[in-house]
Amino acid sequence: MRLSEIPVEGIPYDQLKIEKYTCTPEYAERPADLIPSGARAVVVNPNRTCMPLGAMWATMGLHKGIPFVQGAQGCTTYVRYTFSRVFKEPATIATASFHEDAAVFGGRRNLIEGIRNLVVRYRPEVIGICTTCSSEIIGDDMVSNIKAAKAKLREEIGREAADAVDIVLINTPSFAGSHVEGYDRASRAFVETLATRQTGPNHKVNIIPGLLYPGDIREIKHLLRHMGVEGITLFDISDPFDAPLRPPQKFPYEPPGGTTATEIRDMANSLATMALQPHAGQAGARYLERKYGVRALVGQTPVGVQGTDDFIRGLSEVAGLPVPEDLLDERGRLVDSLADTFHHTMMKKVAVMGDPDVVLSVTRFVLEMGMEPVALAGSSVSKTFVHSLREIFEEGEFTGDPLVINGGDLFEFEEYLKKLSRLDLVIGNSKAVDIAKELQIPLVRVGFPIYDRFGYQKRAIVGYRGGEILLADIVNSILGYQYPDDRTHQL
Amino acid sequence: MEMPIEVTPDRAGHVVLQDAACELPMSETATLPGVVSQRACALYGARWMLAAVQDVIHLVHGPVGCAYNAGTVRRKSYQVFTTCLDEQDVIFGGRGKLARSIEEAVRLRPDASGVMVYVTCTAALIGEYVEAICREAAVRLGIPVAPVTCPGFCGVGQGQGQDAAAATLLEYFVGREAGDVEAGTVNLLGEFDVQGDLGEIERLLARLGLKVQCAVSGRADVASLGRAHRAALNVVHCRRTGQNLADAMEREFGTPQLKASFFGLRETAASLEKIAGFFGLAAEWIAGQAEGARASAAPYVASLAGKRVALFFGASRMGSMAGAFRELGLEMVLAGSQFGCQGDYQEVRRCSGGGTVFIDDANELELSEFLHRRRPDLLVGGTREKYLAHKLGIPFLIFPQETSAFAGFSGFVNLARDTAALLNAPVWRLVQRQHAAPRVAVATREGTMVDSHFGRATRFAVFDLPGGVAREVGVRETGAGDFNCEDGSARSSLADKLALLADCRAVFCQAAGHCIRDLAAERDLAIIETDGKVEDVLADYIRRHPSLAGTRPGEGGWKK
Repeated sequence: MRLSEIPVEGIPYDQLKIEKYTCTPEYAERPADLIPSGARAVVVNPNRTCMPLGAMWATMGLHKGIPFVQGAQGCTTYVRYTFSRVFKEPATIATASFHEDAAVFGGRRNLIEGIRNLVVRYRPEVIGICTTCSSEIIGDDMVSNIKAAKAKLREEIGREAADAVDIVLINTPSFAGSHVEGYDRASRAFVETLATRQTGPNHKVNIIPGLLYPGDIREIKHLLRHMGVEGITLFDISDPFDAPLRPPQKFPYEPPGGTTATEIRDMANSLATMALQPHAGQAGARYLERKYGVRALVGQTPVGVQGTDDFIRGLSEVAGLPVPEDLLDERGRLVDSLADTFHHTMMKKVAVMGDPDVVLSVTRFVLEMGMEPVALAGSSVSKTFVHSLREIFEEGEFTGDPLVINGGDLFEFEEYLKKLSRLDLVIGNSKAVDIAKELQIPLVRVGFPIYDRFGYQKRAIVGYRGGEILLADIVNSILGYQYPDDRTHQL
Repeated sequence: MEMPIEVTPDRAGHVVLQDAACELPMSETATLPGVVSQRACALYGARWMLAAVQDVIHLVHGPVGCAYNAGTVRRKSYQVFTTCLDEQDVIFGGRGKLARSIEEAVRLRPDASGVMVYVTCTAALIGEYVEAICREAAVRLGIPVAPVTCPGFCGVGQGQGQDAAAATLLEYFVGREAGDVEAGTVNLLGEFDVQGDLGEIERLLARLGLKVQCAVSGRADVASLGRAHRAALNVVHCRRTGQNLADAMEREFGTPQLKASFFGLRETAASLEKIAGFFGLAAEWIAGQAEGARASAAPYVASLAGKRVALFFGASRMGSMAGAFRELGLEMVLAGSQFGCQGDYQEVRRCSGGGTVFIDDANELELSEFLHRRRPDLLVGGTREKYLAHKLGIPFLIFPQETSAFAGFSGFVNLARDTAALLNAPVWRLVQRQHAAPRVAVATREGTMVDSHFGRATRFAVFDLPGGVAREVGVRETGAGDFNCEDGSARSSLADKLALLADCRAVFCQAAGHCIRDLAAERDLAIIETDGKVEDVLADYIRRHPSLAGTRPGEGGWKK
């Protein structure tokens, strides 16, 4: 069968109307020296976005928490737009609305009046102030500005009401780092500002999930519940970003759930902090360890069998509790599924792209399926990415030599994939759609952002049960691609 | 009619209730800091205008986030190049990086006929002289390299970016090709080809014998922009994005212009007739087409009678769509825009009735208060408004639309069909059923007799009445004690009580004062004054409401 006759999503390829990149009517050979992103100044189709998004994501996971973005309107609007597209939820984020005057005179007035306007309108409990390129370049003295804003608040609404609002500063200049680092910085900023006192052990375990979806956080809570461990989930977006439609709603609309400021204060008293994404949340865990001796356990996101095993083992050790039977059953079901589907996944060539922690944990899982990673692209530069991958390869006894991109752009990833003689599957976020379509191979969607399909934010890929969902996605994509005629193939 | 939302002093003038005085809202001023603004930035506006220009390299001179975000326009992904400015560049300047990036981009896309360089906040703040770098690159590369001056903090919203984009098109692309005016050709200015809109318009113009030279920028490339001045007429479809271009082209090339709208049957017909008139063409068929479409849309329109619509657009679309929704028979209760101008509000006023509320630069809180209080049958807006409306239980129609073309005659039928389908979606009945859960409260001290005055009651027993059977779900206590209705504090204590009973449709009590009746009426809570045994009172209520028998959730289809 020729490639062009293979159906993509049920439609024969030659009948598909794929909107190709307008720049490449036909594939043209590119200058080889410009393919690696490290060799170029220009970046083509960036794979990551900027820090404020991560900090806004974090603040959205707080009970009555509203991010306040010290910058121009676009910095806020684009992120609200992204959150709405990904989560299908409203995203209340305030903007300092920088205009020309702020660019010249600084954003002090915008912050002071802005905080006042935000508080009298929404009465939030926590405000996460995210800085931007503009405010960082202008050189706003945010600490003094926030002091002035608090003074103004006290004047207007009284000391008690004003002091009830926690204001947390997160420095997130977009010209440094990425959204992943923005989340990481937020994890430290919130615990540092709010968890200022240790008051006695609470026998709980802190969970810093990182940039995981509501479905994933729910699955983590499920694991905690079955282990009998009480947890504090920092930045718990599971309810705010997956809220039920249940009128009548309060006015103003207030998303349900989220981590309370009180819970964050209590994080100083916990048994340990488990950060599920080393690149997003580790800073908060490390801070609590240094300051209060709360043990920091930083591991790969619990995806797949061994990934989840590690998490459960850590949890069991920290809480001093055995792993219950029903979780062993869940594990057994995932292992059973791996056995049942191995002949479809074995030796399949796969490319994985996304945030570093997603790529790392998913790569570990695809090795468990006997797949062969040929290209791995982490969205933002990481000091540990390459080393962690090597460890995963060793553990999985994988001897291949895949392309590893540490923070490059999607152009480099795409060009490399186009030259491969064979590739069966791409695993990554919606930014990889164009690539998968051009290559005429299936895309299994994981990670952030996914905006071109529905439901991914509501379900889990973490834990044993999440592993079964992701495995099913991968296997079914392979089946749909290899055996497009459902009438002739039986599993 | 009273103003349905609270207008804070700092927003006075921007929120206006249409009345005899017919005052228009203030517009085009800076957004208040600290509100949840629906506006975007100049870069967003520039990308809105230019993203669809096909054969140029789009290079965002700024940090990674701007490029990442600017890659998506009207929910569609485009290739984007960026200098990806980092800390080093902010400190030492990004001049060299920009020059190198332009050159590399052209090597990677040798087929490109031009480069557009978008200037972001960061590039502007570090004081980059982008024009000079572009000029040098253009000389070296032999293709236009055009800066688009759209730092996010410029202007009050995305409008400034659209103006900057128009200026770039005029200065670097429009009219580059030599040649005379070609008879029978038009440009469409401010048409972005959403879901086949442009094809619809093109078909109609073709029927008049006219050819679209260039659609800015739904279908534009360097060549078509270069000969845009050779069109015989500029048709301005969107005022906000097209007017500047049309005015400049009229000044520079003498191209005449016409304002047109292809949304709604009346507007489409009038616009086509105007254009036909300009060219002196026969246009008898137009009325017939309009009538045909009206007949096709009639069943949908019939189902929309008496429904109320709230419109919230970016700018000029507000005016052109208002007429289309009026033709659908919808009453417009809100006309709002992010950055509309006085002309846009004037246009929309022609289609509004008494009681329409105008909100300029509406923020999220104002929109949600409006939806909460007025409960329109439909909100029309963009992605950022959609999910809020849904959470409040209000159907939503998204623009730019996702399903099919809305322009032209057949587009109007699509609009009618989509609107009717959204309004009558089964999901809203499912929400309502739950909303009207058969739950009632009884003011009772011991739980046996209805024995309390509403204001003085401290305990309410709450019952569900599924399938006409009363089932107690709990007792709710209030902290409030005695009070006097004349006392100012009473109202807030009553409001607390009502909040406690927010999920009930009726409350039984011995008596209730007048102020409580006002408050309860606002919240759709029936106050029933009665006394007697609780079970008798409930049985009587169930007898008088036979519909309760069918309200057993999830058991409707089950028969014993």
